[in-house]
Amino acid sequence: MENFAFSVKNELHKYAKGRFAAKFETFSMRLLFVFLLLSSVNTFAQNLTLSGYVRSAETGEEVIGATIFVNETKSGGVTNVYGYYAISLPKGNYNITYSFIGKQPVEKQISLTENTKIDIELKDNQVQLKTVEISAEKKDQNIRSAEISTQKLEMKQVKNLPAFLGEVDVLKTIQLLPGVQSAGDGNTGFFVRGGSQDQNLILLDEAAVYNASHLFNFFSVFNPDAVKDLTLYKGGIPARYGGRLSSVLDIRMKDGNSKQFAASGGLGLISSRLTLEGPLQKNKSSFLITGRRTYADLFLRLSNDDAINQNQLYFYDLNTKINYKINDNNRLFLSGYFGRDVTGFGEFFGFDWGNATGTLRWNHLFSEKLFSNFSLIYTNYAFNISGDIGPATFSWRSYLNDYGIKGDFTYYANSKHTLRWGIQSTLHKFDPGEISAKLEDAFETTTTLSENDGLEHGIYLSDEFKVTDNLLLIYGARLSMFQNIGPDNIYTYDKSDPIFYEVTDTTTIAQNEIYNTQFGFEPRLSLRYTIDETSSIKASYNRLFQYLQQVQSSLSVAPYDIWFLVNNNIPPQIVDQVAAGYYRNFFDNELETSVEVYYKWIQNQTDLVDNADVLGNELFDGQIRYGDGWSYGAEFLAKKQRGLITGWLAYTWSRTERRIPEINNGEAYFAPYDIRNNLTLAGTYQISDRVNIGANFIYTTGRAYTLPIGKYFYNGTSIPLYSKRNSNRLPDYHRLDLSVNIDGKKRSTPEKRKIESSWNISVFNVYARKNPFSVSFAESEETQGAAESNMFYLPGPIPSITWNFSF
Amino acid sequence: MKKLINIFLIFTATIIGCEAPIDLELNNSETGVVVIEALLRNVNKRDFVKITKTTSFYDNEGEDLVSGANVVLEGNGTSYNLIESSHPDSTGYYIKPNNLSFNNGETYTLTVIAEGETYTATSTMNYLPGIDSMEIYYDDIQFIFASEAFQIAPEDTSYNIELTYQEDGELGDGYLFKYYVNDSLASVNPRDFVFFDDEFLIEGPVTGAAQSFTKAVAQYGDTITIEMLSIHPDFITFYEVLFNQTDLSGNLFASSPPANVPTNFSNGARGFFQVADVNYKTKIFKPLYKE
Repeated sequence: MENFAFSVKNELHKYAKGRFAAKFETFSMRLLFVFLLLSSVNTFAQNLTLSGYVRSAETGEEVIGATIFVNETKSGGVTNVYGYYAISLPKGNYNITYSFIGKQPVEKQISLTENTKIDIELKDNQVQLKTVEISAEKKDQNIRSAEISTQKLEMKQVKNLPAFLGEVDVLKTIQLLPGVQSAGDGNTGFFVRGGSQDQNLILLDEAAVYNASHLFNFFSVFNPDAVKDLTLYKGGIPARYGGRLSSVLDIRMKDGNSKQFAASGGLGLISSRLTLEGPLQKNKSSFLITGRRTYADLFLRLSNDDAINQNQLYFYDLNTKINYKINDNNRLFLSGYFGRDVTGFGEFFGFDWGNATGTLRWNHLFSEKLFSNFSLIYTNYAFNISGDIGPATFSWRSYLNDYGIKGDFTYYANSKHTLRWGIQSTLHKFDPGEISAKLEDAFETTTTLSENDGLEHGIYLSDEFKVTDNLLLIYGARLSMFQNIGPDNIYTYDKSDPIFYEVTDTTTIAQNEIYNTQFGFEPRLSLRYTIDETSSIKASYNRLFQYLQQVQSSLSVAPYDIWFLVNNNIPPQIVDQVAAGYYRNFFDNELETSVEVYYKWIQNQTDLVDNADVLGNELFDGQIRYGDGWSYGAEFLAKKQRGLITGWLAYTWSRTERRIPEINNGEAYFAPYDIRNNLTLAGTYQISDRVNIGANFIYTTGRAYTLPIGKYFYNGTSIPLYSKRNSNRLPDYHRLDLSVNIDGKKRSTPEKRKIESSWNISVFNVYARKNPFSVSFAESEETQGAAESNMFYLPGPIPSITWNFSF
Repeated sequence: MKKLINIFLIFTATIIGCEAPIDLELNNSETGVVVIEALLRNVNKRDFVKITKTTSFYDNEGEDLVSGANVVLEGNGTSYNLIESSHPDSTGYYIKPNNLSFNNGETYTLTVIAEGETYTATSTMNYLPGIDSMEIYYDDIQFIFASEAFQIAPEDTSYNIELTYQEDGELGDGYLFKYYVNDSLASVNPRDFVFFDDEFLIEGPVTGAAQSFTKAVAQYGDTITIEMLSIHPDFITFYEVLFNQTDLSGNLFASSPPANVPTNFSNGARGFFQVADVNYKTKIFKPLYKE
């Protein structure tokens, strides 16, 4: 422990050069003090440690979030994201129950005389029609954990719900959760508790995904076959996460079947998928490779019409993972994602974009009490637009790269304390790109947008403290630090006109020069108090800093994302959120209910000024204004996890506002995704052994929008007159989707291998509601001088059929 | 180039979604905002200040002209009253006095008192270079497109008007180009205007296309006149925003939210006031092939 404290201090010294040393010194001393105080708790209770991994019996995959319950002490633990658990117990005999949703619980009798390692395998719960009750099973994790405002999704359930065009999509399913708003019909964009889209930290095996969408936001980049676990944090965000204000969506990829070779896949209307996985060395190493490609363009090519058959519109993605168990204490994981969207119109126009991520991880157990993970992380997002129409050509390439390194430690100190700490550094290299246009000999212009580089660091420490049997407390803090790195141009603006800023001065920063260093102190606190066996109350507070954001209207679906780092003109955004909730389970934990309320303050909330011009604009920071943002709401959730009918009903009441001096005359206005009422129902009903039906229903009141209050003419052109920003509402939104899943007969090959297949039939927007995605106001093409309003919407109903298989 | 991207995006938007008219309940309580259209040229031609009021959005009745306003133009130490046209079809038009000329670099103030409210705007007349030469060429890009799949109808044959003028190298000027066929204004719709600021122009002689038109507009032998006006970059922004808001607003790919087109009038009036120096060049229409 002392070693770690020393190394923390050492790290701090490395960062703390020059004038920042003093500031850091104080902080590191404070941190050291807290640390020593905590580590002293280590000395008084001489307990033994029971630890190990929980895995799936069928695939050998580690199970995330499995519950370990000690019947004698009525206490226990939960496996971490690598399937590891450790609990402290005095010497003695115990009955331990290992359980996880959808798996048969395992009971184990243990005589604990020394530190013991027990790895457990849990079998899939195949009995679906009979509701077998196992009294020992603890299913009240929602009551007992301190996690508030946190939602986990079962991939099995996600796959049974209706899917748009048959493409199962985790981002669309999380939009059905309370506190999460969708960006529009068939759109993967989401807003959490009044936060903008760029305030969501989306992690795929720890690598940040900057644009999680395919095909103009219709589909997400997450192939459901590669996803093992998904957790969404809307509040009470743990100290190990930082960098985005409003949510963390932590997606973990499957490791690959370590027991036997397996293949699965599907053929859908627009895409097909294939997953191959298996052991490289049995129980020692395994691999997973999963790919997906849409094929609408293959049909386009069959057309005789040149205008159609030369068009391209497709995406593909590939997830791969290899893991290698060196020994009981060391394990390596290498995972990667690569995806691309390609659109093109003949030879005239090409537009492609995509993400690539890579993570190399090393799990190391220093002792059964000290679990650690070290990661090297790479993320890339790039787009490329090019056009060639004979004499006129243009191109725009842009990319952003993240190179990260991090170390996370969990110390299962004793039955009362679990400590977590870690350190993280990321180098951001954002290149908005070079835009060049050429018209034969007439003109040639190249706009080089200046590169935007920075370093983002974070260190954190938190303690999960079981104060009494009823009171659980997680407290901690994160210190974040951000530094801009040259080369860069810093613009000084004349801000006398609040709408149009004029550049008055440009300061050039040299290559690799570090400037504009900023710190953020981010305290985090969550507590849970159990009232009785079936109910608890929870509360949380978190503060987060965000040092990078996106220049984009929040509702645009264009993939030319420009992310930028805070600089001398734009300060970091800061959020403070408090949330409190009441949790109550009924019918032996079969029905989970909760009510949560939250209030969020955002400092330096940014928005685009009226008539902002950000597309390829070097001076984009002169188009951004910042001020205050706040949002509050209540979320009601009833969730049924077992039985023939499973699913949830959620209702959210919320309100999101901003006040930015230069926007809307300095008056408060609603955020563009402000939606007052949001009701969602997502459920499946198991009709027979082989057939289940699923339904989604969404009803929300209208989104805030700016509508014209009149029109006028200038040079004979009709121009809409607007009043206040987002002071009107679009019509209410509602939609029903239905699905039927039919499992094929289970067959066994001579080698007793199971071949399974299933059909999924989905209908999106069953009753063909025309929900406006956006509304435009323009001069009528037929009648000069007349104005008209048009909406973009997704037509319905859209049926689809998908065939899935696995063996 | 941005325009090209926008065209592509509008096209993409239409293939991934459907567009349909929607009737929204609009709050029209704030109609009747004063709108002032005032582009006054430094030439002895008929110009006017047109005053209207905003109407409700779906209203199809045309413009709501404001009669009886008091319109005063001040500058250069003098002030002029602009008298409302007495022609019954021209109420709401306030005519620029004859023989009124403006001075380079001088700032002018337009004051409009309409229905008890006072609105003012100022404008400075900017430098305008003389036009050294003018040529009319076949638009050579059209021939590259011309193929069996893409035939150009004779009336769609297009021509470019190319001008040469001396750029002074000082930033802050903007130019607006319109053209006339046999002395009648052919670029009526503001979408037919060509305008740009001098940010990318290099000091010295500048040669470039200032307008383009098609065979449908003019016959060989017609007189083509180009009008070059000096305008403030803010007026260029005004036009750019106007087109963005009217063509792109609410588009799936629009990068900025709907907002009002800027104005340089005080007190909440919409519109724009600009005093512009102006030069002309005339050529008989007989197109040349560009080498």
